[in-house]
Amino acid sequence: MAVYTGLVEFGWTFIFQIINTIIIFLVLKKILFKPVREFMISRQKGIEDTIDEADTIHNDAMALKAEYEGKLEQIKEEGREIIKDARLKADEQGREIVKEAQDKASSMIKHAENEIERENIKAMNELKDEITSLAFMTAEKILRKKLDEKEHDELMRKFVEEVGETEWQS
Amino acid sequence: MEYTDFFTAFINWLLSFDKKALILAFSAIGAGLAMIAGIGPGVGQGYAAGIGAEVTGDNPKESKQSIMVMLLGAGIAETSGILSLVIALILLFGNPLINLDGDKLVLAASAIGAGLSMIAGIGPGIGQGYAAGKGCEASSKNPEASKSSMLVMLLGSAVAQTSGIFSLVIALLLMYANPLATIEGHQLILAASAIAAGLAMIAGVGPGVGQGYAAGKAAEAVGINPESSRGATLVMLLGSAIAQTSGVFSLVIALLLMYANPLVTLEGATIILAASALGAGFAMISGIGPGLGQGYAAGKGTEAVGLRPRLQAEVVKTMILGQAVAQTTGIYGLIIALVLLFANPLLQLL
Amino acid sequence: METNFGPKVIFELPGGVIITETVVNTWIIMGVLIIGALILVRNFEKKPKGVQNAVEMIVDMIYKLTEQGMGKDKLGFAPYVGTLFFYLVFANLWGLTGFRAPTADTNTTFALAIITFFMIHFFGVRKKGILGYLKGFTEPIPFMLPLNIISELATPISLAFRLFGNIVGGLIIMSLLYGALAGLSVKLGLPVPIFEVAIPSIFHMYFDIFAGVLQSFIFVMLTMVFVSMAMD
Repeated sequence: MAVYTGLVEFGWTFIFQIINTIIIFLVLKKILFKPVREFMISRQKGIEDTIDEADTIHNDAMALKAEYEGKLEQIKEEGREIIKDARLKADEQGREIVKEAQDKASSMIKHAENEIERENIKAMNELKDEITSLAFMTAEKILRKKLDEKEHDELMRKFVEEVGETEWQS
Repeated sequence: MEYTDFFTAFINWLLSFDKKALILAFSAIGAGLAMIAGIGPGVGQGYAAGIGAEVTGDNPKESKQSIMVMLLGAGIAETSGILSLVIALILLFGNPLINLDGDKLVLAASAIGAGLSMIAGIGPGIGQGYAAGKGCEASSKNPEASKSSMLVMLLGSAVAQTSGIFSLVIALLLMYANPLATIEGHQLILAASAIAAGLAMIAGVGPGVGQGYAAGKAAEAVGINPESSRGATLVMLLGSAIAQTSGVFSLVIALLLMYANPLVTLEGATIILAASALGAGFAMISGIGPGLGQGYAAGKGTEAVGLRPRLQAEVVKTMILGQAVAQTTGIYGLIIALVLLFANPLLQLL
Repeated sequence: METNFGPKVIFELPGGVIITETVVNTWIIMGVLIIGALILVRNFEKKPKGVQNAVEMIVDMIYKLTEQGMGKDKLGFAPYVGTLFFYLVFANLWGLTGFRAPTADTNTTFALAIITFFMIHFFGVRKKGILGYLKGFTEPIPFMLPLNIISELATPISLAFRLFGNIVGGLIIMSLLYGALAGLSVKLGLPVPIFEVAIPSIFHMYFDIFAGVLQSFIFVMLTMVFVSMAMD
């Protein structure tokens, strides 16, 4: 015959059950809740980290892409600028060259004109001299015959004046 | 022998009968007492039927499903009536008490105790009927959520049955495994204790009605806002669990009277000890109030969470604080019962 | 018919220390839980599959329940909440194995309720300080002091007996039912006790499975709510 305790009776079982409950709590906490929870948290953290990492990489790539695009744009701009500059410079140079050439040409023309003038005058003077000497010779011949010395000087002076004061001055 | 007073005369008169006759006579009374529980299912099912009629009037086309819910709920509300009927039939047709060894007075009183205990069935009957009605209404108002509101209603009704089950347990223990009958002597105290155990269980009326109200409100809340089903169910269960407290206290006193009866170890006037047992039983009937009140709080809490699931934490807090205060008079009853059993001041006054 | 519904005494240690079937069954349940946990957690992998998914889901559910019932700052209680829940579910369903449920013993339910009681007051004092904790007893008005004390003392009683009453109620009704059905079979002279096979299953569903799981849940929920209310 089995021995029973009462339906409502407190005894050693009470103490045992408190101890049992505390034991099962500590054990389950150690072998079930803590590891599983930590496992789940670490996995979640891992997932979050991976996502974060992917995000970072993506962002980096995007930044890099933007940077390169910027650079490319800049380079294009620069190229355009350079071409524009070159064109401007070339235009300028062209204009300058043309102007220089024109200047040179005009100065050469002027020079030539001056030269021509000078040659002209020189030729005129030579001609004058020649005419003078010719006149002298002619006059001498005449005077040798008709005119004295005095008349000869006056005549000489008059002739020279007549041949042209202006021509000498220029 | 000349009878000195009415009480002794009455007891001696009872003792003058044959054991079997006395037990059978008291079993008749017990059977009758048990059937009092029929009040509950009557009220509850009537309410459910009324709602069913209303719903049919409002929306005759869609009423088929809601009427099904109502009938199902009403069927559950019948449970405590059936349990009482079973106890009564056992007392009438298969009385186990006449085969038990023990004092005839104790056994006879146990029949009365068993009958008294079953009266608690009033509570679940009314409560589950209310829940059935609310479930029917919810199903009619929101046929799409009919299934979930019905499930909540069934869950709540099952919870509301608890005090009826407690009563049934006490009644069955008194009838089949009566621990009081195994104790030598103290027949009067033990007889009083058997009756008192039954009396104490009557408190189950309160939790039964209250929890049924909560179940009904939960069904209503789920019908209105099916998304809040989880929160509403949770609050209903919590509130109902607390509304069960006075039923639990009654069970404690009944079990103490039966299994750890302190009165039989006390020295003192038998009549005071016996009357103290009865007094303890009566004191526990106060539990009807807290059970009802806390159940109302549980219902309103459920309703509030159904409408605003986000405020669940606040609602639960207020509900539980209020329920704790509503427990007060039930605890008074428990204290008086415990004082009568364990620290009876009346014994020192003699 | 068995008339004694108390727990059986299995053996007695020297010094009058009685070991009842409640304690022995609890040890078995503890063994089952511990071995189960060891086996289930042993092969955890980074990519969860099969059983691991279920274990993680359950543990996660416990933490969610704790968070919902107590608040995010009290997640540290989750292991106790979980232990209590697993232990209670196993203990309450233990009746299905034919052995006595450990929770059908006031010693067990009271042990659990007393632990809850100490948690309520220990953590109440630790959170609010001894003065703040004592002040709580005089609220809302000092007149309520005795009532508050009584109401605190009533908490473990109602906790313990709510669980006990439900489980032992089922136990008593089931054993009476089995007795009655066996009697019926004998009376009808049936060679096979068909009544004992079919009819009790629906009662087992209600008393053991429904009431068992529900009461586990309620005990855990009330413990959480009471402890967190003492701390807030």
